[in-house]
Amino acid sequence: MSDRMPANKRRPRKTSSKKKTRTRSGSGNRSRQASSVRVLLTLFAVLAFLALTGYTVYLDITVRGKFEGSRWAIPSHIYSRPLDIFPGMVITKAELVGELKQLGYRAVAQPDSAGTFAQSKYRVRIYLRGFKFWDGSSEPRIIDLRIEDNVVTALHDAHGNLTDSARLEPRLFGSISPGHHEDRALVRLEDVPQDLVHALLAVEDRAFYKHFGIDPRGLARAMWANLSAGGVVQGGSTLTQQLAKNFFLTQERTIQRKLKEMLMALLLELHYEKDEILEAYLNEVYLGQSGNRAIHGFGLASLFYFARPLDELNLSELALLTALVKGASYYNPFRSPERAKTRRNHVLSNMVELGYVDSTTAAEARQAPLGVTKKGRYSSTEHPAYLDFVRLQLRRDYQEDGLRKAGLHIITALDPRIQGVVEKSVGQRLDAIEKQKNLPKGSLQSAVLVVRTDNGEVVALAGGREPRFAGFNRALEAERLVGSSIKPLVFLAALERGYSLASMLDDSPLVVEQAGASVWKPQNYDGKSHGSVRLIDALSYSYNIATARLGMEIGIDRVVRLLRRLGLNREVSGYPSFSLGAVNLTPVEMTQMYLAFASGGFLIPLRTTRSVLNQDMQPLARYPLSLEQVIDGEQMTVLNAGLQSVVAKGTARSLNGRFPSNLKLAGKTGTTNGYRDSWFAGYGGNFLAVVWVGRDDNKPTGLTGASGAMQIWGDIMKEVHIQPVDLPAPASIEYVQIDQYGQLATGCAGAQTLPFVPATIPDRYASCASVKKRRDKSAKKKSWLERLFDTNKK
Amino acid sequence: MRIETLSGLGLALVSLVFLASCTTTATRQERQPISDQAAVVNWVDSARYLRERKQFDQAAVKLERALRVEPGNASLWHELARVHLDQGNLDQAIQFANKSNALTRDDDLKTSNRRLVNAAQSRCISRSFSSCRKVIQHQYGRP
Repeated sequence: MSDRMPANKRRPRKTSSKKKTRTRSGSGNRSRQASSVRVLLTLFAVLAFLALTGYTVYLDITVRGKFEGSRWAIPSHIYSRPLDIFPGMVITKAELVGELKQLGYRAVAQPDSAGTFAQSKYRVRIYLRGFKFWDGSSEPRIIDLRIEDNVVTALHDAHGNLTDSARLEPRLFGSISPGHHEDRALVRLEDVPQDLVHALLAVEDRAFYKHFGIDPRGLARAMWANLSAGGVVQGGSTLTQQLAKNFFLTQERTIQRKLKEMLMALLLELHYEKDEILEAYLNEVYLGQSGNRAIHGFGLASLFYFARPLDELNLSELALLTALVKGASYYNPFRSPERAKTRRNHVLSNMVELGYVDSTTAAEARQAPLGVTKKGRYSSTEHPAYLDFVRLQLRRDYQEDGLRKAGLHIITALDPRIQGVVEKSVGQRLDAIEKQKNLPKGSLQSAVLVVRTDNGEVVALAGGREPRFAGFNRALEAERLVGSSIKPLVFLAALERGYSLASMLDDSPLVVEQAGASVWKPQNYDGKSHGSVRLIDALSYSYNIATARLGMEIGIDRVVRLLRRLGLNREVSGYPSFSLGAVNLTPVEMTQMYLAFASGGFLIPLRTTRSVLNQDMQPLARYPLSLEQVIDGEQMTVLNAGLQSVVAKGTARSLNGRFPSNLKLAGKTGTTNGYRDSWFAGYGGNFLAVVWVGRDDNKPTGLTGASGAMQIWGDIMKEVHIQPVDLPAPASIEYVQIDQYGQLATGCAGAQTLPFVPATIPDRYASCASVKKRRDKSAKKKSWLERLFDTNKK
Repeated sequence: MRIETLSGLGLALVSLVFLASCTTTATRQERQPISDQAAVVNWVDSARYLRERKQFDQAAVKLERALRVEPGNASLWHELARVHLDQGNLDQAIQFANKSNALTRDDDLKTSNRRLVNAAQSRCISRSFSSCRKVIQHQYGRP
């Protein structure tokens, strides 16, 4: 028998205190732990809430900052000159139609909407688009012109009333973009065709006007559609989400980014109206690529794919643009036309499904071709060389940042037709010369500027033989020796010192000893010296020796000062060789100098830009015509006759086979030592063109000014409706007959009539000069009043 | 010669002079239009209207547009000189008047240009602008 009492009778055993404590603290610990966890959780929740709130506030500030500030850095857009049309204007029908097509005007049977035209044998009927010019807006309207013998003979309005002028809008040909290379042409929602909005909503966000930024039903629907299809066939993002993603976020596909996108979409919807969000979307969405330029927004996409503004597109074209939203590269209509068409038709089907268009209309639209241009129009690299000059000139007044982001509209003087002629002429002629001279293909380069003689506007510019090349711009940057093309400066300096075209110059061999330099012995190109020659002959035939000697007699410093007076600030040496062109100038500098001759003695700063309008097409700045008379009218008349003689019988005489003599063209060839540079600067009444041909590696080309540059000059000037040189001579100028020896030769066979400043008329007579017609310098012609009271009258 | 005869001759002479001036005035009033081109005439009229309302930039734009059509029209250059004169661009007013003179043999127009240049130089002197030195140094374009 155990001594132990039964368990039930046992008194509870007294446990030790420690044990008792452990039991009591165990349950207490658990409860304390639980409460600590709760505290921690609460703390965490509060912190998370605060963090989320803070983050939301941050996102809110970001979203509003973007929306309410300047949403985009809008590039500045560059336009060509607008074309004034008026009775009496010289233009062929083909040229006018070419201008219209460049502007995206469509040929139709009967123009019934802006951007269309119709033509017959003599008539062109145009429905002009409107445009906000500097001097006022013009509304869309119909004009009717008659062109006969390459002249506009009549101009009527839509009602058949005579009208005195009309104006084609300028052509957008380039942009100055922000560093991230985005480009866009902003549109307002109210200007966007309804069909585009409907198409967009039909495929991208059917409940746009109902949801609050996120569409749970849309998400669910997309998920179901994608699961059913076994792949991604439908997106669940709303337009608002897409906008948030494009504005602020990257393209990475993470949950984190998705959540951020949703939050931003909610914030956008919280602050802004649906229409504001939609408008922003229409201007933001990525729709294509042009080189390194990203095409954003439907406004620019319309110009890029169709060369027409958005409001001129039809249903199928608008559907195509909408199709690109899903993937501009994947559905690129240039590279994947069939895929683009399929997607476009899918958009149309969606529109039918939602009742935006009827099935018949949609069916017609599905049959339509894509209608895109051959390749992307309005490429921002269309005329990069000209654009370079525009930017160079605008930098005087605008910071580069402002140009890139302020959305300016810059109207230039570029004439697209002449620019096209220049580019074609350079390419074709250089190819031909290389072939003819057995030169390596592509070895020759060229630079060209074409300028209006009355106002200095640069209408065309080529920086090289590759018109789309946006690198080294030879017209602006190539500093090349100018050779004989500098000589008119020397002769002008001489004329200002009292020389005349009949002044006899010494073309006998010349040796010049120069301190600190080798002996200089200039040579003529034919290797001969010609003895005593008239100044006009030295200029016409470009005699080096006579010119060098003349330059030293006049003083090289005087010639250099004249260079400054004509607008050139380049540092030049004072060596005698300067008079033979031992100086580097760029083609643009050469053009500035020759413009003073072509304009009749006026320094007119070269201009590319006419006016600048702001983002809203309001006038901002203008670049007005300005000029300064820098050459006396008398000397200019005489020099001009000399330059005309260069063409009539001198080194440029082969132009006479291409142009009628009544044009009285003027110019000067330039060839440098070793035939490394070929220059020609020449002008008619309305245009001056300067052409340089050479090699970038400065190797000889074997070309003279006449056989190289002048050929391109001739090709260009044949296409620009060149007018005769018509620089009226001052009344004081006297025209006198001179023989080959610079003697008065009135009535002599072979005498040449030349203009003279009266004080410079020769006083020696040729033996054959008619006695009766000899000019008696001492007999001043008396007025009728003087003759009335002449007491010496016999 | 009798006094009566002399008086009669003198009266006749005065009458002739008077009639001649009327004729001249009438001739001035019947002066040729500024251009045969309706567009140019329209732009010039617009420019004059704008100049009177002191909208000089807009006036200059119209005239520059006209000059692109007829760059050899000396009257257009004169009109542009007037705009610049009224605008206070005295240097350019003189230059455009010079350009007008370089293109014309019309004595009346040359006289108008001369008056314009004198007006520009006078304004310059009276205002004592430092830039007026350049204006005054300009040679008036020789006929």
